[in-house]
Amino acid sequence: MSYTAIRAVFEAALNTAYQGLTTPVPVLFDNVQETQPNGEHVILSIGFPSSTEPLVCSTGETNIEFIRGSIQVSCYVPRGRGMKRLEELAAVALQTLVAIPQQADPNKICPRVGNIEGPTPILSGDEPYGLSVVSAVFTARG
Amino acid sequence: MANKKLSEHIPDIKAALNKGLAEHLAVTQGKLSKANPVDTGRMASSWFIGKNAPDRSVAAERSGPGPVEVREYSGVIEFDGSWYISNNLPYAERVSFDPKWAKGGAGGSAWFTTITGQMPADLNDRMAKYLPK
Repeated sequence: MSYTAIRAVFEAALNTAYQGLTTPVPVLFDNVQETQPNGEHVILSIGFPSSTEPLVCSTGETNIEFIRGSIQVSCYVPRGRGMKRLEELAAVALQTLVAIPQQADPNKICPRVGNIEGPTPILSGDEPYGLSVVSAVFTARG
Repeated sequence: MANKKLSEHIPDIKAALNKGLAEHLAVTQGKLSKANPVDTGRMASSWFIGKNAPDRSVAAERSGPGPVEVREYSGVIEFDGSWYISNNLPYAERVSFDPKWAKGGAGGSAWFTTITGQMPADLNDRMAKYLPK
């Protein structure tokens, strides 16, 4: 099991969900796009804060590992246009994260999404955009 | 150990809970300060522990970059009441949640939710370490 394979499970599912909207929304991934769009967009951040978990068991040639991670989905819309679109984009993140464990993964990664926080609206300051944040912890076995 | 009455275990359990909570709060405060994106270091130095109410004080204003200082809780941390780790700077919420403000920070763009999301598991691990087996 690799970090890349775990990351792919979440990035693919969320990107598919946002591209499937009536008005598709660009998704920015960690260390990919440097220039952020001015309009609606989503930033996806994945971290692996704990990589010292024990192996669950050994199956001969491969080991079953257990890794803890966290994911944050930050949804941006232009400021001053109400909460509807912000909450729609946040709901896509929630629905996708809840559905992820049911999807079959070609790399046989088995993710489990734990407590989901948010959507947390961030409207303080004078930024030209409104932000809503959905975050969750997850574990992955593979 | 096996012959001890339940009441005789209570002081050990209390001590373990106190120790586990004190360590958890101090380590989490340190993690937040360390991962906090730094310009002058004022926000990273403004994570404070409070009992029964958030500590609403903030580090003094700075004219330029300075050291990150972690202020230890001055009292004794015990497993009672409600405990808070808070940051009362007006821009703290934005820096904590907005990846555009966190970019380049030591803890990554999702530094705050990464730390807070792991807190329940961290606390569980600490309590398991100190509670008598």
